[in-house]
Amino acid sequence: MLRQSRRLALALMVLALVLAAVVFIAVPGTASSNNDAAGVALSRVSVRGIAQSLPVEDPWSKQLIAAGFTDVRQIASASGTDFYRLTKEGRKSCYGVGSAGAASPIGFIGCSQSFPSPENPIMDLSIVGAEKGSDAYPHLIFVQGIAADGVATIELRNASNAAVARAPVRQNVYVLKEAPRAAIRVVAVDSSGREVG
Amino acid sequence: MIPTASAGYFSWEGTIGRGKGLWNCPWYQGQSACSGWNYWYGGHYKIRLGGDTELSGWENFNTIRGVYIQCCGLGGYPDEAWLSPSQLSLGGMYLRTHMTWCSWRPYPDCALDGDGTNVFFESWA
Repeated sequence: MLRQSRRLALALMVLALVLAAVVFIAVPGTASSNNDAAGVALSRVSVRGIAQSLPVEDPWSKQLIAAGFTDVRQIASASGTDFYRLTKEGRKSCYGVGSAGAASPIGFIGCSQSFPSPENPIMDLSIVGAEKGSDAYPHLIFVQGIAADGVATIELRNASNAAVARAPVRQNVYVLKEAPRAAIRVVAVDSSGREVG
Repeated sequence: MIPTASAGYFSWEGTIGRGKGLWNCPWYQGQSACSGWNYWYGGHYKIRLGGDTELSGWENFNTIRGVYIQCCGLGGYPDEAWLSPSQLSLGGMYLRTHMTWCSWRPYPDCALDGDGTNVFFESWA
């Protein structure tokens, strides 16, 4: 009887050790998987585009063609702004914006070697400026940009790093036509409300 | 008096930072570089070396506008830009093309050391 009890106690101890080992291995593994998934979502822009051609009669568009931009794809349109993905030899990713219906469809192209990535989940293409007599320093005027899949919203921050406005990310783009005058930079926020990048 | 419009091209490569630049801009002299005045329709701006953020665009005596670019695409900004003044609501205006070290931004991603960033920019009129 005593021997059976000892066997049972030993079996329970072994079982407890096995369970502890499983928990020890599984929990960090789950966190790691979540981090991996978040990292992938911050390294990807999934929206598909529709192929477009630039108007060759427009001097600025001709300049962009001469600079080597090919395979122009419109990826989204929001608040009168069209968003584009462009291919240029030797560049990882190039994105553009333009006013819908303008003679030069793409008014601004930005290229980056490190977007999209967990360190750089947005490519901010916002317009910044100041007026003499009105502004102490340049501030955000027209907020626009491209965001990786893992970015849910963007926040505008003032000089004290406090949030002064927010805008949602839809189809991997964000746009806010009239930024508060205090806004000087854009930060990316994921679906849990955590700042990323 | 504003001279008549003429086709033109401008390019410059050099270092911008605290006390470094071309000293010819209406705004932020001593930390910027500007082209001459013209009716520019487009510009190309590139960071060659250095970590500072540069405001890149156009300006006149009343207004400065542009987009931020930063080395290696850090800080959420491009490292190279092609920009039309129309995109800044400055189309058809008599302007100087500029690149300006953004000393006014009080947080780390602007790299407030101002040691100097090597840049290249060109514009077309």
